[in-house]
Amino acid sequence: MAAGSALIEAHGLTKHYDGFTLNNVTFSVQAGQVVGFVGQNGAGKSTIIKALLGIIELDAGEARILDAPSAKLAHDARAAAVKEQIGVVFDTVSLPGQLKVGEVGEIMARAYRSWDAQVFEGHLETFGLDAGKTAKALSRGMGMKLGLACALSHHPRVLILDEATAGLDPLARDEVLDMLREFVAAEDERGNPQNAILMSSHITSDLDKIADQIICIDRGEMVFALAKDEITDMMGIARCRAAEVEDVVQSGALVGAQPRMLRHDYGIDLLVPNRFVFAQMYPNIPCDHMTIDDYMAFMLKGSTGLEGANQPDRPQSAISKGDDR
Amino acid sequence: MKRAFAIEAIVFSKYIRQMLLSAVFVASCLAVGTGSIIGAPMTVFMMLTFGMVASSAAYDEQNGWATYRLAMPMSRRDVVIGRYAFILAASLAISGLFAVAGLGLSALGQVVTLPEILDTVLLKNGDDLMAYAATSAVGVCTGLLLASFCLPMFFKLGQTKATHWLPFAMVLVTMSPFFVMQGLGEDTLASIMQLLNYVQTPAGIGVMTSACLGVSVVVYVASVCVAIRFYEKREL
Repeated sequence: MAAGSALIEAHGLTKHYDGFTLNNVTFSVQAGQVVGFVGQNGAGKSTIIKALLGIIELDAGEARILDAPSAKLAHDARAAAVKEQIGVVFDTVSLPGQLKVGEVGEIMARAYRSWDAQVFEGHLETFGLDAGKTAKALSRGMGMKLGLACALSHHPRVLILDEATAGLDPLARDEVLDMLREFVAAEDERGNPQNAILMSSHITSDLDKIADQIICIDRGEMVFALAKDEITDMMGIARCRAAEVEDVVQSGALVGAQPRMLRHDYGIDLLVPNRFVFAQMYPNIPCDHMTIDDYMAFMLKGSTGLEGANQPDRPQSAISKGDDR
Repeated sequence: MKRAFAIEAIVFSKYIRQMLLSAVFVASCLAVGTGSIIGAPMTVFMMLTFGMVASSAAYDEQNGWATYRLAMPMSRRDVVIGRYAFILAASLAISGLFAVAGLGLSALGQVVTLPEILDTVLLKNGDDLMAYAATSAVGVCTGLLLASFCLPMFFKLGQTKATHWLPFAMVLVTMSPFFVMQGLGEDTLASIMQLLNYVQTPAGIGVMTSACLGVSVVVYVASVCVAIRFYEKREL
């Protein structure tokens, strides 16, 4: 693969189930990048991950990992070999409960030619996992640690993590995030980044610390795909009174973007694309920095009109890339 | 396929150890109850195939193991062939151990005086040996036919409320000829008796053993192909 090329590509992913449709999801993950998936439960994040791994068949669209078509990963032996370079952690301890931690290591050693038992032992020690304990005896957090230890111990190039930090205590989460940062920072001989991470998480503070891009999925559709820094470093929440909102919207402080607001009992929160410019124009209106959670709330629950209570207006197009905020 | 086989071996290791103890117990009770070890390898083989077929589906459903396994460098085809190969190999190996142990003890009994309870059940002569081989072949055939029907259904549907009862249903089907025989006419019964008499001859035992093994292998291989097609299409 060429340097700087996408390690994960998804074009128009579409999948129909009874009562749910994943509709036309498109994104890519470049080498050296951490892409975070956010969205409510049942939004379609796990469906996308399964589609990328070839575990489910798409009704339309195409996905590729490490230049191999995802559709062939579970069916073609040669394509299956690509999975040597993919580390996966699902949101549960995905192992038969009677297996001991040590036996899990044996399974992984049989499954992956590139399995590094020494690295695995190191992770077990770091995470405090007892090789004699069964998978069903592990707490959720310890189970996730085991999953991460497995995913990181066969020298993968791509990590796909589905709620992998859920259940971890704060110290362990910090440790894991450090490992993930180290993983994604790895370079080849020419100094080009060679690894990438796609992670779904409800713990947006983790994505805040590590992600380069945030993709939000809601009811099977992409709501937005933005650079994380654009959200957290540039955007703001203007805490306006009702009387101030119209003036702000008409003043140009929103830099031509469509206004998005959340109405509260005490006032109206207005999404501001550049809080520094806004602060200069309106020094008397408090403007807080934006978090990923806040931006999601604006995009999923916010309205674009001044009339009536908050009635979520979903963007007409599937993706907001920052131009129609 | 080798990876899938090796992984099945690790997943089933504890189960196999437990089944081994059960098999020793059952085989011993059977030998004492029938007065002979002739049926022991057959019973062990059927126990193991029956148990592993049902348990494999249960393991797949545990904690999303079937989904996680597909994230490993294996194709669905590898998973299916690995399972079929493991169930066959493990059942043959363990029932083979019992068969060899039975032969060994019987040979020992010819030269050494063994405790009466043991001596009574061991193989005594050529007829016993032929019966030993024939019943073992029937056991292999029955076990493999049971697996051949159940495994594709488990790969297609997983363990559901319906498929949960599949192995038991197959055991009932296996026993059904004994119930059906009561309703057969005299001529049919006479023909069956003729066949059974032939099967008790050395030539008949040879034909029956070969037929059992041949049919079971052909059906088992066909079952692999069906299971692969089912599993390739299954949504996990």
